Amino acid sequence: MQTGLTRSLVLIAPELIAALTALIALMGAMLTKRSGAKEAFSIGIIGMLGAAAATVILYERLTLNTAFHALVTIDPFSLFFSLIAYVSVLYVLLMAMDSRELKDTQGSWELVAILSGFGIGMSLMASSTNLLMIYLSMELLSVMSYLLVSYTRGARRSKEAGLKYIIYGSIASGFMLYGMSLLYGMAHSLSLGDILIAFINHGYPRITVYVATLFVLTGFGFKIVMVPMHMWAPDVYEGAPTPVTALLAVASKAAGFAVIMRFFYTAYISSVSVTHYYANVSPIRWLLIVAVVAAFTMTIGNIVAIPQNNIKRMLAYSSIAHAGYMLIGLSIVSRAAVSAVLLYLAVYFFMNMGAFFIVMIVDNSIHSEDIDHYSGLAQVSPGLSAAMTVFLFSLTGLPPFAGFIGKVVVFLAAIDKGLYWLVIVAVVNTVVSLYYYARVIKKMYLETPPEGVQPVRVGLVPALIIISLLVPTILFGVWWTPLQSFAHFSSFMY
Amino acid sequence: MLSNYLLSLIVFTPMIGFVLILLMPRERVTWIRWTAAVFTFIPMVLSFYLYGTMDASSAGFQFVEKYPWITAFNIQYYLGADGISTPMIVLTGLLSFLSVFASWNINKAHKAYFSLYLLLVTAMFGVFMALDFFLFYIFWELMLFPMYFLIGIWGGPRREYAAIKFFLYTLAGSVLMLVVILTFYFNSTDPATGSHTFNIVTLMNQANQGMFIKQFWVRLAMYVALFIGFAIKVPVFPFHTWLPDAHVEAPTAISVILAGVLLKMGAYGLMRISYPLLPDMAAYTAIGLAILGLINIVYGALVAMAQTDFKKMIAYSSVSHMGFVILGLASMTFIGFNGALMQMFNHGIITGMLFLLVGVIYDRAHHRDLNGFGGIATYMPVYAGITSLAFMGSLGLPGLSGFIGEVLVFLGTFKVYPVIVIVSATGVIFTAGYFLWAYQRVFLGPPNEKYRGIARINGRELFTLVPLVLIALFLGVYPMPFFNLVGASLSKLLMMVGH
Repeated sequence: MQTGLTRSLVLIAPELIAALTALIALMGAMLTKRSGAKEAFSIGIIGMLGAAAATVILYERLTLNTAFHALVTIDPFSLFFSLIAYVSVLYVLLMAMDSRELKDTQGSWELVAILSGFGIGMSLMASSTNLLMIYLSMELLSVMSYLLVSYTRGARRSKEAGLKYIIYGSIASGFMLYGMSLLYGMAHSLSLGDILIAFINHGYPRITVYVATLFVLTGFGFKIVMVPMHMWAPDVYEGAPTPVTALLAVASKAAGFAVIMRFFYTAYISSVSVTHYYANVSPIRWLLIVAVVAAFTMTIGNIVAIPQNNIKRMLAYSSIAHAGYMLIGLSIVSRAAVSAVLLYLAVYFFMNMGAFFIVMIVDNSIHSEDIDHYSGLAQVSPGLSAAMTVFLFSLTGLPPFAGFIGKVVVFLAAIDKGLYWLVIVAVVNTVVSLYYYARVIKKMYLETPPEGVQPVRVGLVPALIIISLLVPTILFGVWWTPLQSFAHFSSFMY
Repeated sequence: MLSNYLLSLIVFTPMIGFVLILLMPRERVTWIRWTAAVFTFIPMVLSFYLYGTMDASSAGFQFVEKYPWITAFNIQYYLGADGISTPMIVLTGLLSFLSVFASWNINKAHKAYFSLYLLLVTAMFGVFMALDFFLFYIFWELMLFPMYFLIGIWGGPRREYAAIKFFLYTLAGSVLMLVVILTFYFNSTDPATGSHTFNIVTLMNQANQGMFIKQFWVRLAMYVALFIGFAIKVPVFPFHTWLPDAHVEAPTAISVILAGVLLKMGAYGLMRISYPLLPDMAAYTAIGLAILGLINIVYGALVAMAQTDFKKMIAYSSVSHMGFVILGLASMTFIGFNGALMQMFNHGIITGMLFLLVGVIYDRAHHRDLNGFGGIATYMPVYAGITSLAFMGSLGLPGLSGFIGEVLVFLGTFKVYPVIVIVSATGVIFTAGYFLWAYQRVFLGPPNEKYRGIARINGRELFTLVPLVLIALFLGVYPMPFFNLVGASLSKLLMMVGH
């Protein structure tokens, strides 16, 4: 269905609102001499709330729509990710307001502008149904991420992280472009829908399709931190200011999953949602590749997380492992699998954002991200430690917390398709992961604080933010029907 | 009216206490203690009521509560009790109430201790009542993290190691169980709706009609995975290595709960889930189970004999005694099953008593070295008397309940595996050996001057011990109330496994 320009603009209203926010922020940066943190953040928060609200309204009213000559498709699937994008940016803005690291940087106006750009990039990534558009939106997201990672200009490790990120990211982009060009060469079209038709109608040489797919997957895999494209993550996560790390670990990863699912489900899988008919029409067994990669991703992530002493680095490796669990949902094709990954991402948003938020608050107070410095935290800050414990247990996947539900729905989808070996790898990994998550808990609860440790001060707003992440983490662990139906409905793709 | 919600009330009353304690200021230690006492007393009384009003002649589940919970996956909130679970529920109620008083002298972070404790109690009740596999798993896992903290914060010197070891071991077992649960789910059909189900009763019926997975190896793999999950809890050799650490390092009350209730869950899982859901595999692997039971009995007893730590000796005696349960279950006979369930209950009562007794002496002497005492009977005559009774109960002296369980296990198993029973019987001799030897070293002989003037056993400690003593005596001379309760359900179980 072709849509006129006006209609197209309505469909990207959330992106327009975010773009407007970015423009206002840029003007604010030029017009006000001082950094004007409060005003900047207010504009950013209002803008993101507006964008999120627009997304929700679109979601409520929407049937299926393509916009701008089928460059983007606005469907429940893309809106789900738009919502994650703007809510993530919103939370990151709230985090940044309290961040020690971001306090003395070159200005909050620019930060708001960059973060809004990030939101637009992520939102468009989820809705792109054209290779060119995928590439452009992904570059938008990447460039914003590079800027954010090296945002603390003075800090050396931040600069180092930024440089590493750019180099790795550029190489991954290069691979991806090459893969896309191969696909274009075969299908004579950049549209994902045309690639699907081309796959159905022609028998392409398997080796070419393998190379093209693997190269494209390299680019996407970089975003979701998939082994073996994971080398950058620990350094970058550690070096970046904590709010940015949270953004990369949650939003950037979700964007990667959005684009991977969109890519494969539109170009490689012929589907009739109504009858639950899904079939891989490409000549290659890419599902098996994804399954093997998933196994390696979770195993390597978990094993390397064990010896880490820096909590951000540990959470970086843990987020690699979580990418592995989510990849299980990509190594099978069914609507349940898509919905499981979406549910996992939503749950992952709450628990990981919460964990990073607490890391930042603790760092503000004790100026350290060293796990050893969490010793006895429970005795001086019992509430904060309890919240952290819930987030960490949820990340482990222990009931009755939401992380368990995320795992269960993914495992269910996999076992439905008989992928037992991968589920067994995943549950063994769950046990391994308990060891390093529990290590933080052990430090907080089982050890005594050093002399003269002050309680970590948590203001009212940060406390409310933590509660807003904590409540869903517990609630969705015992009653996740709303989340389930939301994810199920959002798994509808054009 | 009450019977419509009886099981939910039992499960969630401690949860109310949990919330109340969280709301209390942490300086109010007395309030916190008594809240814990009240909110474990109510479920205990309710569990007695459950026992009293239960129709023991029926093998089906009673006091059933069934509500849809997560409709998308057909998960139900489904509770019920029968002759197999009721003794365990009563045991949980009793031990969790008494252990509150054994926790009276916890000396730090009372608020955290008692709130976690109540959470643990909720989870334990839930495991014995859940009839939905998913719900069962949630309760099963919910026990882990309170236990981790209870051992890790309030335990002995090596508590951190013991806590994480317990946590990792049990989690490893339960995630395997999760895979099996999901496999069952996809091979099930709810006769009412045609969708998949986690309903254990439906799954049992399906298993009875032989409607599960056709491939032999898949069924065997599922049985083994489930078994490992349960075996770690029991614990069955060679999965027992977490137990000595956890039991020794845990504070007294938690040792009582661990030995008295948590160990039962493994055996309960075998009876409630493994046997009815994979009956052919249960029969196929029974001989292996019997051999494991034998190893548990003899090996546990021998290792217990080598201990010099009072608590460690009792921990290993648990390994030995749980071997009787395993052996009875492996026998696949009515008498053997009766013996196994009786032994489960007795072990909870008697070993609970033993751990309480160790706590009494440890609180006074601050060590547990069996060779470091001597002649304590002179200074603490009442204590020595109760200990001798508990020791005799544990080593199976006729007239005390321990004897009945063990003898029935041997009787039931002898018909099937005579050699195994004969070898296992040596375990009884070793058991008598280490208990009598320990008694001699601690209580008899010339009084150790160091302990002159040691405080006698006090009222609170007696209060925790006397009910257990009375039960052990009563069931020792008149066990019929127990057998009447469990008979119908056990014969149904036996029918399910095809005997």
